[in-house]
Amino acid sequence: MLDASSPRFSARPETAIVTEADRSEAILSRKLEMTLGSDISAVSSMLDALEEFAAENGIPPQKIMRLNLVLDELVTNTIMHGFTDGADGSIRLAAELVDGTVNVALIDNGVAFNPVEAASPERSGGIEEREIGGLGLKLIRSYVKRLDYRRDGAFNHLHLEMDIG
Amino acid sequence: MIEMTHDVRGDVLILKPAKRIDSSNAKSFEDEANAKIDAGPKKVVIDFSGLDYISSAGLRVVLTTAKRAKAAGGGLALCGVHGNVKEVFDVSGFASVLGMHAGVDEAIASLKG
Repeated sequence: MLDASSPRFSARPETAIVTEADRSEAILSRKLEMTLGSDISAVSSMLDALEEFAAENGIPPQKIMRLNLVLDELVTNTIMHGFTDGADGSIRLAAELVDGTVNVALIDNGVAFNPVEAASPERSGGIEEREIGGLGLKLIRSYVKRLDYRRDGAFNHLHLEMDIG
Repeated sequence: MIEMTHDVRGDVLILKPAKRIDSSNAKSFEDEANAKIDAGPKKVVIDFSGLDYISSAGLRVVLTTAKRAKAAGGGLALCGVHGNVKEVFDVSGFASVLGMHAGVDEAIASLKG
């Protein structure tokens, strides 16, 4: 999705983009790639990077918040539940802006978890009893246009699409 | 760590977190709020006017703070919830569960009696 769906980038192998971006601010600013560790402090670093990326690209504040929130909830869930103690966990994030849409790929080496199929929170269950993981998923579903999951070997692959124009 | 200032007005503790409450600093908010409730006033106002972002981890610690204050014989009221933070409160359903007020004075008044 990230490479194949965009005419702008389709001619380039994904691994070469960062190198080429050094010569082109336009490409650098339209694509964000980072690797996050399995410590919860990674969430704060990610939010800082996303805010900078969004500000550079003129994304409206409300859309920045929604993008931050969705990725925060997904990455937090992976860090809190995806990595068993002592595991060398890492999460690869790649975000790309294409015509008012942001495409994001999240790849992690944690335990298999499919947020697309995870149960929805019970609205009638009372907010104090509601499982907080369910609350995060509810927020995610409120904002994404598309969320796809696949398990590939030892990796969870999430692709999501949001309107940010 | 959470960026937070606090104030005590009469028998009410006012907490004012700044910038973000996310999963990386929610625990520090909870610890700081709990310590202050245990040591002082049991009526608590959280002033959100300086907060730009909250995630579900942040909502969770607001809820645990409310429970803590209530269990200690006090209560919790919120004020200054605006913009992006208000949207998250609305979408999550928290807005209808917790007392939300325009300003600190209204929030304090709601905890009297």
